[in-house]
Amino acid sequence: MSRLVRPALLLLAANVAIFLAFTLPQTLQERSLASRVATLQSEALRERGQVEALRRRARAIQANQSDAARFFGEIAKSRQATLLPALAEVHQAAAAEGLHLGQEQYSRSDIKETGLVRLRITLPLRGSYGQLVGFLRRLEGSKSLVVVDTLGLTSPESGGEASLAIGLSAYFLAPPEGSGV
Amino acid sequence: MRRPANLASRPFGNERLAALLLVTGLLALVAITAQQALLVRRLLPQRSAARHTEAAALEAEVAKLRSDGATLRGPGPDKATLARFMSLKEIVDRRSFAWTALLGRLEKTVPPSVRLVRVSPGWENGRLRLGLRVLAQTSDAGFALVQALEDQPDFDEVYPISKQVDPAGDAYLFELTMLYLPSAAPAEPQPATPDSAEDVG
Repeated sequence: MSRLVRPALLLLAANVAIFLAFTLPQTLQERSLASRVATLQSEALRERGQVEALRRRARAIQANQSDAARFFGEIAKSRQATLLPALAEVHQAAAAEGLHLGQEQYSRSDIKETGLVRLRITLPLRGSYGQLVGFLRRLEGSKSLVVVDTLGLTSPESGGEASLAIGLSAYFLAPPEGSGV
Repeated sequence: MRRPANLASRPFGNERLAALLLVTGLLALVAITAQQALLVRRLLPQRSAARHTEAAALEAEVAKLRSDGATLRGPGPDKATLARFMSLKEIVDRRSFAWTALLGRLEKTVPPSVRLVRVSPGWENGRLRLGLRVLAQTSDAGFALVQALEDQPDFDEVYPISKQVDPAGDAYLFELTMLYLPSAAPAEPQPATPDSAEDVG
């Protein structure tokens, strides 16, 4: 038995030496690496989210620019091309539904940030409820850039004609500066 | 008292305890050595290379994402451009709003004992706030309309503003206000929503 003591002590010493020289430092290093990987994973997750949000924002800005370009290129037109045809369309819609028009009022204002001009039209109408709805349906189907802003419906006390105070806006491109239009 | 004579060539000693301790120690040492061998094997560089590679890949990805973010963060549209987008979107939203659908919904919701006298819609921060004036045969009928509107998913925040006896004296005149939020109706204008001009013209 005593012959085993010496090799056992040598083995123990070797174990201690290997532990101090390799196992302990490598274990600490591995823990540090694991912690670093965890931190990097969380940073990557956060950065991915931020970059995705920024990409969405960039796409939305691009889409808005494209929409705005299309709006001004295809939808909004000059006053000459918009105003009188739009008014004619409104009057034709009222006439087609058999509505009675009252005294119309107009007011013009610039929407500076858009480069558009807005012509507000106050349009008093009288007719049956069905005629008023038909008129609104015609405006909804119109190709003109005419917007229904407000709708004041006063139905009769008993049967008869209802009256509708409708606020419309027609939009057209502001004339170039200095054109005097 | 005299000790008894020991005639053995080597003196006798009980070594069983010492041997047991030695064997136990040797077994423990073998176990520790095996454990350490496994640990050393696991910690060898070729074994931890995968984790080093993962860390390096993550570092590269984070660096690239930060670089992409810095590029994308560049100057966005200025306030004037954003205001322009907002205004255009609101015009488009107003243009695409279905008034006949609103009237149709009101027709279905207002009970026969209540008569619609006036509908006054108005845009409020991109949402449509309706003002209704109705003539109800009874006070209960007027409040029942409030409940009926509130029960509709298209109407929200329905409040009575005033209630008075009709000058004719045989009915109650109610003023109501509510938000109109049909699923098909445009939401509050957002400056960064794509395809905002889709429905016009």
